[in-house]
Amino acid sequence: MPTNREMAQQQLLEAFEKYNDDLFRFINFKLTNRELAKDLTQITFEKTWIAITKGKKIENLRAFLYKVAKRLIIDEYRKKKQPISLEQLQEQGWEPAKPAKAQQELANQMKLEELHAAINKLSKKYQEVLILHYVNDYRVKEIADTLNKSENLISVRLNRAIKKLKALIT
Amino acid sequence: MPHQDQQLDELKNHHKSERLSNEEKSTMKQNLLNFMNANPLQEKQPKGFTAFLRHFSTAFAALFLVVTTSFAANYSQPGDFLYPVKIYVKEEIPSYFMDDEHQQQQAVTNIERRIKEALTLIEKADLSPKREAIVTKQIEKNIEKITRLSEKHSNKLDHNPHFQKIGELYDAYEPQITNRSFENQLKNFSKRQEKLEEKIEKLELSHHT
Repeated sequence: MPTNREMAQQQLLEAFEKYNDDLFRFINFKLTNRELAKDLTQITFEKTWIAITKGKKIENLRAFLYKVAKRLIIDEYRKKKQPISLEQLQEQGWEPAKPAKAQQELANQMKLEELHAAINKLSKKYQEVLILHYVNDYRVKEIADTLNKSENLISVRLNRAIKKLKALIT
Repeated sequence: MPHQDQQLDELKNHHKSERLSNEEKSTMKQNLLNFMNANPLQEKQPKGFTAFLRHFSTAFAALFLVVTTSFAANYSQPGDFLYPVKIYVKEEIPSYFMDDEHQQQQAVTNIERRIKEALTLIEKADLSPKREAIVTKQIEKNIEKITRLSEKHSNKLDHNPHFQKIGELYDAYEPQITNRSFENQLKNFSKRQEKLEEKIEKLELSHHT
């Protein structure tokens, strides 16, 4: 018979298998730093484990993981307020655009960056639903489950977010 | 508008391709496993009043049981289920903390209590042979205790006030005791007292010679 510890470990490892890519994408989209996103994904699971060991009741593990990830992203934003040198950025995994890239690729990149910037201009609640929908490819039900909100609310919020985003990129 | 939709689709496709490599996932999973092993599950520590209650729940339960049982036992009569509790809590436990003199005084008080209990039962016409046997046994037990303690201090035995008190009790309650068997029991005690006096005399003689 598995012990409580083994069961909890198993649960979190299963969650890792299921959500590691989604969380990584979510964090990476917000921070645009692959290495940092990878580290924060790891930390997200570790912090969740700490919460479990302290006896926190987690009813929706996915929602909890996103909550932890969002807090980590906010912490990173706070740190980012201080100016960072190019060397530091490169150490953290940022790569400058390579001149060898094709024109089309560059154009696409610019479009994406424009989109990225537009999304970042929206309020946090719209950003969240857009990232989960367009980056993580979550359906309304999954977003609702992740954010612990009703499906109706998420549908309305997603609609508004898309409208606002479209208005920004015209 | 189609242009914007296209941009959103591109965003979707672009990020879909963004994922962790199998090697990265494997390393992260191993790191997570190591982390979990290094930080084991803690026993749930309840906080505040709940913790206090949980911590002392057993003690509270025991205390509650003792108090309620003692309270209920207080009104029990010889032969009742809780009667031994009453004897133990009210008489035997306190005697552990008394010196010999006080233990003898306590034994006399106990005998008087047993007599009163027997009288109550007689009034209710409820002194069954079983109950009577219990009362008798308790009186004997207390007399034996006084005897034992008196023997321990044999040089003071020539005029033991406790035996006198028991005699006075017998005189006081005799008219009320209608149950012959119980009366006989008290008479037996008088015989015991006489024997004890003989014993004292012998002891005194041997002491002088």
